[in-house]
Amino acid sequence: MRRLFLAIALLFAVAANAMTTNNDDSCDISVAPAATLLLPYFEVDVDKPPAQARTTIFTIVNTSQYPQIARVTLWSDLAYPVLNFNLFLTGYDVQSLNLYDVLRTGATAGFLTGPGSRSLANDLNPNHTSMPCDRDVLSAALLADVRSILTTGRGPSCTQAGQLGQVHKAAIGYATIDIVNSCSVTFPSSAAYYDELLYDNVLIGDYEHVDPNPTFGNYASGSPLVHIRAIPEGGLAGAKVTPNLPRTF
Amino acid sequence: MRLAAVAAAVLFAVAAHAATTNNDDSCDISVAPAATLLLPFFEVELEKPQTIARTTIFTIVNTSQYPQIARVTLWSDLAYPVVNFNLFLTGYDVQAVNLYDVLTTGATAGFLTGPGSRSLANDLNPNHTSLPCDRHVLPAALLADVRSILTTGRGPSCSQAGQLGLVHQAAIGYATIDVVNSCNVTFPNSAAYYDELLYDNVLIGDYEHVDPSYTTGNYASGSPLVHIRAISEGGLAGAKVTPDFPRTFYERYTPPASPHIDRRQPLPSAFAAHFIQGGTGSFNTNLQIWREGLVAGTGCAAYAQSYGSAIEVRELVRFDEHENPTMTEGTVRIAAFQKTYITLPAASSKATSAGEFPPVSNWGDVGGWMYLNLTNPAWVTTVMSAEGRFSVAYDAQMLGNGCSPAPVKKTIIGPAP
Repeated sequence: MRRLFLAIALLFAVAANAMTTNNDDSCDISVAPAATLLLPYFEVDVDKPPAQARTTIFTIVNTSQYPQIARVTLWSDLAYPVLNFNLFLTGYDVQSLNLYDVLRTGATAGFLTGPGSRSLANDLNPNHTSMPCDRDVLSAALLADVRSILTTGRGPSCTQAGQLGQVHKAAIGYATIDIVNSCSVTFPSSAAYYDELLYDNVLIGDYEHVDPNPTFGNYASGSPLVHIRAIPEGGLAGAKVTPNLPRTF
Repeated sequence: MRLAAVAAAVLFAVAAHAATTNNDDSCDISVAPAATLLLPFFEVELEKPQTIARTTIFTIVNTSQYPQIARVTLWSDLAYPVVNFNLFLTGYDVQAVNLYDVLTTGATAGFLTGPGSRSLANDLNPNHTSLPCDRHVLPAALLADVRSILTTGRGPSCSQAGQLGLVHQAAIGYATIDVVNSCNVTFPNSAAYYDELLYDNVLIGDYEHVDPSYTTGNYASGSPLVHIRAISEGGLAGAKVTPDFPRTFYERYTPPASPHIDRRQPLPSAFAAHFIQGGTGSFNTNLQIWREGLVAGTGCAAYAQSYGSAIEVRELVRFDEHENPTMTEGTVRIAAFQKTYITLPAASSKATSAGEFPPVSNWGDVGGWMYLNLTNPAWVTTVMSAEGRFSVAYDAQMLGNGCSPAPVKKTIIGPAP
C-alpha cells in the first residue's frame, strides 16, 4: 500500500509539472525558430516590368551555427507542388528571395559562400547526407512549365490532369520551406520526402508583398512566415518518433 | 506489486500525454485570444494637425459572447503608468482607438451600445462587479498632465520625482490592455489591481503606426498586438491559482505574497530581427523594443532615479549576409562580441544604424539579422521602410519563450534548448 501511495504521489508530481514550461512542447504557433516555414500566399506579376510588377519577397535565417539545407517548394493555389529547390544556409546565414526573380529568370539562390567566424564549417552538420548545394538556375523549359501552371493551371509536365491551379494573370500560390538532409528535389507529396525531412527548429523568416505601381499600388505589407515547429525536435531524417499531436502539418 | 504496476502505467500514460495537446498550456506567445494585450510602442505627434501627425491606432475584439471590460493603461517610455481608462466590450464587440484622439481630445471610447443578436446581455458576465462603464472623457487637467509626462517626462501629478519618461516632441510609450472585473481606474503597479484582474482569454487585437505626412512619411505599418494569455484561465478576480511559470508578465507589480497571481505568460528576452539598411532603395529598419521596466510599486517618487532608462542590454550581435558578426567598441569595428554597455528604455524605436547597435560589416552587405539578448523580458518589432512609400512591420522572432533561461553573454547563439 505504501508503494501505491508513492506511485500516486509521483503521478501527481508529474501531472503538476507537465503543463507549461517545456519549451517547444506545444501546439501553439509562435514566431520562434522552426523546422518548417509556410509562406501562405504569393502573387507575382510575371509579365510586367519590375517597376510595375507586384511581387512577394521572403527572407529566411538559419539561427544555428550549423549549416542547414532548406527545401523550398512552390505550390499552386490548388495545392499542386509545382517546383522546388534548395537553399544551402551556412551557420547564421540569411537569404532573401524575390519570387519575381525566380519566376522571371529561374535563379533560385545566390552562390554558396563560406561560413562566418562564428559559424561551423559547411560540412559539419551530422544529419546531412549530401555536399553543400550550390546555386541552381532553372532550365528554360522547366521555368516555362512552372509559370504556365501558376498562371493557367496547366503545363506540359502534367497535361493529362485537370486544373492544377486556377487561372489568373499573376502567378499565385503558396510556398513551404523545410529543413532537409540533402540537395535532392523530392516533393513533400512524395513518401520519399520523409526520409529527407529533418526536425531541427532553427529557421526563422518573414515575407513582404510589394506593389510598386505608383498608380494602382504603391504600397507594401509584411509579416513573419508561419513558423511550424517539429515536436520533438532533432535527430536523423526518417526517425519514427510519434509526436503527441492529434494531427500534423 | 500489481497496484504499483497499474499506477506506473498511469504515470507513463500521463507523461506521454503531458507535452503538447492541452490548449493554452504553454509559455509560447501566439496570436490567439488572450487576457492581456500589449501595444509595445506608440508614438503620437500631439502638436501637429491630424493630416500630418504620426499616430498609433489599435483595435481590440472581444471574441466571446460575454461582455468584457478591458482596462487600457498608457505607460511612458520609462514604464511609468500615466493614465488608464476602460473599454466596455459587449459580446463580440470590436473597438478601435486612435491615440491621437485620446491625447488631443481626451475621448477614450465610444458610447456604450446594446449587445448584438448573438451576444449575451451586458449584465451577464458573472465575474463583473460593476455596471457597464460608459464613455469616458479625460478632464482637461488630467489630459494636460498625461501629455506633459509622455513628452517631457514630467508632470504636475508627480512633480517631486525625477524623469517619468524621456524627452521627445512626440508622445511616446506603450500600452497594456487587461480583462478586468470593474470600471475602476486602478493601475497594474498597485496591489489592488490584482483583485480586479480577470483570467479570461478572450481578447484579440492589432495596431497600426500611421505617418500621413506626404513629405516625411506617407506610409503605415501594422502588426498584431502581443497576445499574453492567462494560464490557467477563468475564474474570479483575486483567485490564487499558481501557474507553472518561472515568472509572470506582471510579476514585478504583484503583491509579494502572491507574485504569480496575474497568471500571465512571461515574455522572452532573446530575439532575432531581420534588417535592411541602405542600398539603392534607401532602406531603413527600425527596431521597436519593449522591455520590462525596473521600477515596481505605486509611488511616483520611485522614478526619481530614472531607473527605466538604465536597463542593460546584455548582448547585441549583427550578422551580415555573409554571416560576418560585428559589434562595436567606440569607433573600432571588431568581430565577435559587444564590449560596450548598452541601455535601452522600456519603449523605444531605434534605427539599426543608431549607435546602440553594432556597425555594419566591411563587406558592403545592406542586409542581415541582429541577435538581441535583452537581459530581461522584452518584445521586438521590426519596422522596415523604403523609397518613402513602402513600410512593413512584423514581430521579430523569439529565440526561446518566457520560460527559457535568459542566455548568458558570449554563449553560442541559437534557439533556446
